Amino acid sequence: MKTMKSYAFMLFACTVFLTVSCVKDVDFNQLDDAVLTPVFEADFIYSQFDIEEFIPDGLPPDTEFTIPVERLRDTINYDLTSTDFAIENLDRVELTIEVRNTIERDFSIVFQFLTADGTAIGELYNVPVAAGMGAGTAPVVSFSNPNPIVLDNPTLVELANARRVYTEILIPAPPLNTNLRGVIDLRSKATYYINYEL
Amino acid sequence: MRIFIYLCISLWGCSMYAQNKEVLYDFIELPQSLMLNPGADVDFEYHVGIPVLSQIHVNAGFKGASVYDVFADDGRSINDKIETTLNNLGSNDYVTLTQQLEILNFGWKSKKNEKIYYSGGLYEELDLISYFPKDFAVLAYQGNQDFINRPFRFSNISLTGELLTVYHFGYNKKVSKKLTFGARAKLYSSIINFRSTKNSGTFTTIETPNGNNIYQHIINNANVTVKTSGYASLREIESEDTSDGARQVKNKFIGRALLGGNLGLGVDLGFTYQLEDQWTITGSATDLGMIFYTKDVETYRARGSFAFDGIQTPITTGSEGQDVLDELEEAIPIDTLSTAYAAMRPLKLNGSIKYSFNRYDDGTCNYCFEGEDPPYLDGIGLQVFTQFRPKRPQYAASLFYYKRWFSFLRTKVTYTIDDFSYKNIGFLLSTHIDKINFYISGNNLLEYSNLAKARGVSVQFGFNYIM
Repeated sequence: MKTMKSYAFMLFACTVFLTVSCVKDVDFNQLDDAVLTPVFEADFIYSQFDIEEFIPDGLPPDTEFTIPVERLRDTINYDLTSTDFAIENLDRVELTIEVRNTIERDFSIVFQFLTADGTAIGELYNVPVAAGMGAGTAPVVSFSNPNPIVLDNPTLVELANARRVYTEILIPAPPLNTNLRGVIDLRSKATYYINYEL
Repeated sequence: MRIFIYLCISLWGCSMYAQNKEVLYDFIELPQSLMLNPGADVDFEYHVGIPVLSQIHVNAGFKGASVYDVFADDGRSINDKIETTLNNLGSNDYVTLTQQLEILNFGWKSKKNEKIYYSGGLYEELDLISYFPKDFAVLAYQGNQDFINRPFRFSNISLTGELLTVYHFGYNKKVSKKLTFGARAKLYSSIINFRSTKNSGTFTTIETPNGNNIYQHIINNANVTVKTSGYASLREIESEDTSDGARQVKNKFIGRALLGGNLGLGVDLGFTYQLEDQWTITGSATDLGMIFYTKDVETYRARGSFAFDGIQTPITTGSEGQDVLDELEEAIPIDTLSTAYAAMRPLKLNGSIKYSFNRYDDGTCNYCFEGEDPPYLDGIGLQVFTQFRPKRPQYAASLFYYKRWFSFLRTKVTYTIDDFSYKNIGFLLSTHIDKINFYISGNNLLEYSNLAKARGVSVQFGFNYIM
């Protein structure tokens, strides 16, 4: 009888022990609403354009000269959105471009995305560069127009095949002069706004 | 991704802690107390654990947060709760999961010298610990925009995992009336192991007003290593894509469990010393040992430094430009090595002091087994526990109260302070009926009404046949 009682007690104790434990006041379906929204800042392109390096040797002072257009153009590899993940989960990309100029001439810098085989896609973006005040002076800072350049999701879908970036410095008339001195300093960053639903 | 997150969360869910078995420690009516202290003052003729049922132990914990913190049904946005939890967690917070299954456990009193008790057996153990990689969780969740000039540290990545079997044989001797000493030799057979500890280096985005570009992204002296053993051959099975892959994995695991894995040696040491009639102190060091990983070893290592400040447009050259990923791979190559390595087992230290009182002695021995000294029915004391972990040891201290209600029913209650909680109540119930012993123990009982709020729970139970 004592044995029976003790078995009963044991069973009771275990039952209590195992049944009082539970998980409540929680709702795991909330996971459906969870969104990751990190913001990543990454450097984009940079460039230093020192006009002195482009003045042909042997030209006398105060002489007009031109720079061959191929020296003002460049194409670089830049994988903007190469994966489906990026296209699907990028809310937008903002490009911030800042140009500091000490050359006493205004310029403009243009860039455009290209596919792997060099076909241009999307808009040709323009960064007007205001004239500086000469070598050794504080640079005049210009920004892209608009600033920043916003590539929203539809634009990113359009740019899905972008693998390269084409850049060019445009020199409006009149021609450059060998007396000009100074540097164009281009700095830029891309801000990636991710919206990832778990 | 979703499955991974559910898995992480369910890990938090069943969470308990390290390998502290505070309710089982020095509970000398149970043969399992010999596994925590080979020098426990046990008094059995022989014992046999019911195979596979003599001890089932599950123990998991999340230091720093609970499931409730993220999933509380309180009307707040889950994103706010994730962010709050993320901010509250530190890189020394961790998730652990330990599971043990005794496959065999037996013991007998020496016929030549009845002061000696031998015990042995075999158990399987799974032990995982992962520190919270706070910096990289923040990077993934919030990005680097708000953390310019702040380093993200690779040292945050620290985790180990092991599945192994342990063959053991112990020796327990009553050296004198006051002192009992014990030792247990252990042979480890590791089934699978991975570890990534002692990583170093940083990733920082710094602002460079006078630099080439707006920022510079710097990986500085990165040294990240993941050592694995028992994994490379499994990956081969997976890549073969054979229909009997599961069977092959099972066979491999069984082979390794039966001493076919990476082997190691260890020892447990312990003692019980009776200071005076009613005062007892005990101490033990368990899993003082090492496993040598020589078979099926694969180590992945990334070392180097790299700085990136955007893509230069030289304008002058008209070249194809640079490929940043190629440069990164060149600067920080990921090497796959097959160098053998050795790793210490996580050493555990236990100690206790106990005061026994309320001796029951009416000559009828209703409360004791035949031939036993009249027992003390109550005991009270203090226990301490330490386990060495990759970053720093874990500590716990417990007050306990032992009560022998009848000869067939004994209990122990503990109050423990540890990394996880300041209000951890544990309870053990042990019944001895017709030589069959059943015990069940658990801790964090106050949290049982809602496990979601618990940061740690531990459960052990089992059956023994004891004489």
